[in-house]
Amino acid sequence: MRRTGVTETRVVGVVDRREQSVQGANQADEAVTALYGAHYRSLVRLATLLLHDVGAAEEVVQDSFVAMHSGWRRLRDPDRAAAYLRQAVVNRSRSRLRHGKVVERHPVAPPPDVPSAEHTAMAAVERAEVLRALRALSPRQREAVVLRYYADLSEAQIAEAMGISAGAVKSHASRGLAALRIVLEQT
Amino acid sequence: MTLPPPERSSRDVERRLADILLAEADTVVPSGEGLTRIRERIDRRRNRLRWLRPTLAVSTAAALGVGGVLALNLTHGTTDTLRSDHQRPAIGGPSPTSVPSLPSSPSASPSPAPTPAGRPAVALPPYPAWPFTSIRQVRAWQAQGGPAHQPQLLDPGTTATAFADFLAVPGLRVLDVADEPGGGGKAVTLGRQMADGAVHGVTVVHVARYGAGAGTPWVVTRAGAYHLKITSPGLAAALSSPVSVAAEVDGVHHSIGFALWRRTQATALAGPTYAMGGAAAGPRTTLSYTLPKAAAGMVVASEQSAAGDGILALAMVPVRLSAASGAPGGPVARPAKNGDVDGDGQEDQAAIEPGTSGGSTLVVGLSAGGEQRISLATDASAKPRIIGIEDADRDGYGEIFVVVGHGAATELTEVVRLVDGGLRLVTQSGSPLRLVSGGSATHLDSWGCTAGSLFTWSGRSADGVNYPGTQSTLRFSGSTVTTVSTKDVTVDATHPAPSGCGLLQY
Repeated sequence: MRRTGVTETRVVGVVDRREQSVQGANQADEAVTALYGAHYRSLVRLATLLLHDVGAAEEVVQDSFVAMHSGWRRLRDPDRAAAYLRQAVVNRSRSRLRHGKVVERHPVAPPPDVPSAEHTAMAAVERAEVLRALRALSPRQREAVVLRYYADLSEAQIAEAMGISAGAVKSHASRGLAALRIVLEQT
Repeated sequence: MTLPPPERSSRDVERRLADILLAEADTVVPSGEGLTRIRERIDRRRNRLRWLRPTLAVSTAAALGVGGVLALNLTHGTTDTLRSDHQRPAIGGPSPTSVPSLPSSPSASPSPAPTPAGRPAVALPPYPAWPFTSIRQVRAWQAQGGPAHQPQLLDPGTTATAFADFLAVPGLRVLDVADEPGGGGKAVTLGRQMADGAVHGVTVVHVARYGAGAGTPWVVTRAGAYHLKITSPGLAAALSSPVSVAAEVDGVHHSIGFALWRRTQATALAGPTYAMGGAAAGPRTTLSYTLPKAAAGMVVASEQSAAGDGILALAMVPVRLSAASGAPGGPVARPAKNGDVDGDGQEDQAAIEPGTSGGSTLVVGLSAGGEQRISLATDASAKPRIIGIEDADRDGYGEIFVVVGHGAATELTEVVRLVDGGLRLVTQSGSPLRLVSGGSATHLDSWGCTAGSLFTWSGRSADGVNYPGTQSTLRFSGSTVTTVSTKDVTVDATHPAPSGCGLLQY
């Protein structure tokens, strides 16, 4: 009878894990739906600013959702899922850029042709210049600038999303801003 | 504000930048199919998992004989109890009458029992991996004045960089040293400046103090990168050759080099073998090694930059390697068949990837799976090419002959062979062996193989007709050759220069 105790425990282990994983899967499904509604669009926009390619940006964000779903049980605090997603999007965008996968298949649409006051035309020129300068930044500088000025994150949040220290965020952001400032002050 | 300031204020610049980014972002409208795509991919993934899970349950059940019934009983009404206590043997669940026949089945032993992976990892103590794996080694080091000779091991940061140097990943610097949660360990982030000019993290080396007393050194316990994790083998797994290794890579198409290292030797025991991750699974491969006795080892995974910019990410888990004699089965034939690098009787594929500046990579796709690569210094003007793969020394493993450069009227060939599971460039007296062929009115060179030996011949001529020269016979030992004998051979109109090696044409 002692020996059977061991085998039973083993079976218990299997059943127990299956049970847990079914529960986890349901929670993860619900979380994906909820987080999609709340964050998908803004994450795609964030990734587009990093990648300059809407199609690639959508893929990166979808990848991140799938990864979050499969890693759901490892997420220690589900309330932090949004931060996890942001981190995944930044990281995947960077890795995509690094491997040169982005070939501008779906370039961002040019700003719509608004009936032109001279002011609007100037603004469009300036925007194009700034975006061009943004693309010329190093990936880290671009990330720091976009997370700060578009996503409006705190230094600590940016550090987390980029996986670097707050000090490094500061230096990337200030160097990035300095490069953009030249363009911003010229126009 | 009546007058605008002559220069835009800092805040103004920042606000306008934010406005521009917001305006740009507003033009981006996602396709609207995102959620559907995500759900499809999750479902596909889940279906793959469903394939696996019942297999585990069923094979366990099959091993138990009547286990299926047992499992069913357990799922009824006992889940709460089960979740609260993993070890509880489900009292009152199964009928005792179903039990006695179970363990007598001989097939019970090889059933895939649940692995310890399910247990919380936090309970594991850190496993010392490098440079010490036992407290005895630490004491010996301390007794022999180690703290004075190797003060770098007294600091977490320099211990981490010394470890990277040991693995031949030089040029990394400490970007960050952070406390590990719950313990005295440190996580040291190492990185370097990359092609884009920015400094990127390459690896996080986990170090812990090991030993006691003055001069207690730090040891590396494992390493990982933000987007590269070794998923198999697990921490401190006991392994025997051949070893299956796998990694998880965040990103799309990474080629990951896997290698086995020993604590004591600054060259890899096996590998690196390169593998790409598919859409579904991460990169994985198998490494074979030869080891006279069991040793502490490390599985190392690294991501090479596609731009030839060095290593982008590095991960390591400590393992135990059991003794292994010879490659599995050894070579199937001596000499190896033409084209067979790894001695399994199957032709392997070799190709040259031209590099950007004065270097190329020889890539060998092994018939058994996996990819090996080695960098070769090639002349910028030369078009490197592979002449062929021939077992010059008849040891059962083919040598790869690669033309790497040209002289005025000569061609230079280098030799690459598999040594301890990894590609190595063959050297003679410390520099790459360069086989020369061709010549002019004043000199002539050739090489070839005969009777299980590689040879070179070199002659000089005063009249452009007769070339008195010397033929040297070379013997391989691992990745080196030494000259074992020489003889005088004169080449003239009726005696051509000695050359030829199996099917090789040069």
